[in-house]
Amino acid sequence: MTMQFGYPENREAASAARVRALEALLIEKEVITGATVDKVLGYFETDMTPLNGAKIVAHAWTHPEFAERLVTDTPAAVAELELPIGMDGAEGEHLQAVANAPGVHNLVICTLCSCFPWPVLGLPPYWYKDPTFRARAAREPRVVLKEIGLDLDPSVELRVWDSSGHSRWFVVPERPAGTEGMSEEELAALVTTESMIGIAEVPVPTA
Amino acid sequence: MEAPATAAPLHESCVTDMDAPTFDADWQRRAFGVAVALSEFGHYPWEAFQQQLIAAIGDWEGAPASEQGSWQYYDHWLAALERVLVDHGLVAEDELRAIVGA
Repeated sequence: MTMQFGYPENREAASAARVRALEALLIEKEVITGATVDKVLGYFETDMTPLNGAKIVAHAWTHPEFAERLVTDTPAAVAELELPIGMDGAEGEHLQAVANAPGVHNLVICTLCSCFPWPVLGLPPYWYKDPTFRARAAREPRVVLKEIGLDLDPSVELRVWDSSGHSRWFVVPERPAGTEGMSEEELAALVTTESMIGIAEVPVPTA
Repeated sequence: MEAPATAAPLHESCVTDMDAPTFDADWQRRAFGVAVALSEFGHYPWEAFQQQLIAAIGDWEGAPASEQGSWQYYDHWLAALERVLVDHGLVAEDELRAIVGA
């Protein structure tokens, strides 16, 4: 493909035109319909978001037996909840939850690429894909966590999980203090993507 | 420009890694959507696309710096998509040439 090298000045416009032409051709040949790509993109952008992960975590916080099932058979436990259909597709079958506990903190990384539990966390944040983050988080995770604001006590065991296509880890963070009276929905609103990757704890609600 | 994000080999099992699924332009989003949609609907296994993407990025990395041009992940994505479409008979060579040459 000669287009790979010696980019034309207007390469951005040229690439855009090529994509448009390709999609139009595929529609004309009835390989896809005019709605196919939007449907798939919508699934990625609307249905597979960290809201799913937050709901799962909040349910685990309020249902100890579910919390146990969640770490022993994650896909089956996730399937119990009413989450957007298709959660078992898009690599959902490879989901694996790990739970933080007093004295144990979990961190999810992907050393080689950026494998990520899409169905529950959506698409990965930019830093997760960063080569420096990936390498350093594997080599010196405590230092990296401290730099980004999570200073773990030396007595806390840090478990680092290297994701792959076959194991898409996510963290069930600890329920913060002072949330005893909150509903499952209110709890879900507290759960951050960062806490489900393991680079932060769920913030204690103020107010 | 930033270095290629895929300087290291990918996990062998990493068949769905999208590497950079945040978009600077709508054409990148469309290219992402077309590649994923065709795989989701069974027109090719994701590995087929992944291998073409690795090859396209490898070609870029192996080229002399003077010929590389600036790094644009989605140009490689698009090149991989075009190759996999031809490989799987979804688009004919001459149809592709008409588009690329257009």
